[in-house]
Amino acid sequence: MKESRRTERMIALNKYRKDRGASLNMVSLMDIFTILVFFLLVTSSNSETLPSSKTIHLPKSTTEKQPKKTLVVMVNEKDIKINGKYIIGTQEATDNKKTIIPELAFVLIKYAKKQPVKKQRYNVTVMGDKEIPYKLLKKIMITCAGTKFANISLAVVRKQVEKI
Amino acid sequence: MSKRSSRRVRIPESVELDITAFMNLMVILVPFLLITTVFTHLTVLDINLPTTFQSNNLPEKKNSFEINVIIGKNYFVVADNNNNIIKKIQTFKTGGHFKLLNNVLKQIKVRYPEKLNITILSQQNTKYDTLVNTMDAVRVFNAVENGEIVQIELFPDISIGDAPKFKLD
Repeated sequence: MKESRRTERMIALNKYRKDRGASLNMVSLMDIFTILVFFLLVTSSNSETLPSSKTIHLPKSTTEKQPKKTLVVMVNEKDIKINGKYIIGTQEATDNKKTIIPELAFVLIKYAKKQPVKKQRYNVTVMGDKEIPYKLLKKIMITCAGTKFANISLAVVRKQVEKI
Repeated sequence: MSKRSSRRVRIPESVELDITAFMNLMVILVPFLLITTVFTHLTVLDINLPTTFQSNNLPEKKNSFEINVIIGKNYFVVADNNNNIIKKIQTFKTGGHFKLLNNVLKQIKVRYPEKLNITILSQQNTKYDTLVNTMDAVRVFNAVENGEIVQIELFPDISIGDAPKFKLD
């Protein structure tokens, strides 16, 4: 079969392209990456001092106070932890008839003794789930205050101020 | 014919940049930054808590005016320390009562500008979330100044206590 001149030309062009190797156009990809890198660099500049926990749903607040590096008491529906170490079950702590949680107090006293600078009041951050009752929170706060951890900060998730 | 060929020679072939190294860097950097970035900013609320040691040494002030916010089941009560009710606020499911509470406290702040402390009295089964929202409402109020939202201090020294057992009906 005799090929037309146009077909011949096309075949020649295809051969030429194949030899050169296909070239990807990366311009838009580079644009995206450059923007993304700068955005992420800016947003990730502030270092996080509080541990993030997926089992605790913190309440929201408009406060802008930054957390300090302190002892962290974590409370969710299942258990109470200090710096990630299990102390006591939440149900057990809620149900006891005392005003404090003895197990928590015991551990807190140990931490108070280990503090490098001796002070009258130490700092502690309480990360509580938003569903925990006031009764339990009060017990935790009394326990903390009784063991010299009287400067209590409640950890919250920052919420944008609503438009008025 | 000769004109055409001479033109073709003059056009330079487009130079391709070798961006392989740059792409490598980006491919590593982007997932790394994506993982390390946190999109929820954690902040803290401070509360005013006397140690048992300190509270014993505090002198009793009888005539001082203290503001209490009592969290009830279906209402919020703003009262002073002599159980005089300043305002009773009905709670709404939508959370509109926090705004009302905020407005009431704003009016009290106008009358007592140097007052900074407040006590929130809570029921035993009040949720932590409600408590934090109440703390937010008594702490600051938001005003617009020059088109920007600013937080103006109301009563930032917050103490927490048990609600008294009395009926308000």
